[in-house]
Amino acid sequence: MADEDAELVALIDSEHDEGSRGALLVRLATDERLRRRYDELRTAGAPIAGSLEELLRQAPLEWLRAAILVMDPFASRRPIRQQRTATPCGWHCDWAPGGRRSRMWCGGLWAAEASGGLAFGRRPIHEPLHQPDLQSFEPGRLAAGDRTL
Amino acid sequence: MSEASRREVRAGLEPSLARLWRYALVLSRARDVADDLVQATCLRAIERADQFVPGTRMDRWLFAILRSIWLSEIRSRGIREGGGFVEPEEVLTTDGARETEMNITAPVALRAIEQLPEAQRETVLLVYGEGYTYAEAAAVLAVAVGTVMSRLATARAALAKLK
Repeated sequence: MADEDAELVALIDSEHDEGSRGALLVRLATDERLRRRYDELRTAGAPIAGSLEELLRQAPLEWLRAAILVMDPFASRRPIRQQRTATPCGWHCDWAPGGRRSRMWCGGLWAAEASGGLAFGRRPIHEPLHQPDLQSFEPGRLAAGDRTL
Repeated sequence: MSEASRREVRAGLEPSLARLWRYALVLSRARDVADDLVQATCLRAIERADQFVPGTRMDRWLFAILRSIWLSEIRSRGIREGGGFVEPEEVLTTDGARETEMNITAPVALRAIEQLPEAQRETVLLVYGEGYTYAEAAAVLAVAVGTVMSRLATARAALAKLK
């Protein structure tokens, strides 16, 4: 029965070669039970592809895209300004595009986190290796030490 | 690693994200695990961009990476018993023409697929979701074509019992 099902399913999926297909079609034409089983299996499988298609629509694409942006192991080689342009901060600071001081702070933290991770929405993309210490942060020290900004 | 291959791989990741996630979900049956699995797959693909052979199908390469990570790293953590990938309220759709077909059958079919053993779920996805031929699926899964036939027949038979 199982072998028979497998043959029928292969027929439904057009996987038989011409010889096997022809022989099976002859049997189907003469065997009512086999024909009923063929119909059962064909009908049962009809919604599979559509159901799997539905799963595609449930993929968290925005989250996954954000994950790709931060996971590039070579990202830290790019200028910080370029990184920030690609993925603006908005998580741990109040970076204002026109404010140089704020940009330094944001860029510094971003650089520190580039290998550790970010958050997108409420979901962590990676657990940060080092949580930024915002309480003891000294903007002046970072600005002086970071000439790329 | 050449910048060109890394760029090529990065460009090929995004179009495959949804399908990678679906594959991960079918394997793990848990959405958070699927997220992690896709993330790990993308990272490894970027790290090993030089191993991608130009002119071949990148989606298949990414699938192979995902499967490898699942088999070698994640599955062994014992997290296979996920919460399932069928959330009927998420599957239900109201977009007209699809409604009759999908509202009635999709949740039922997904639940049935979810209850299949992992090997059968994966085979069903590769053949009916990704359009692999039996021979291609057999090669990916490292099994005989007859095994693919058997798995698909069992899956259809399980669905037939629900009718």
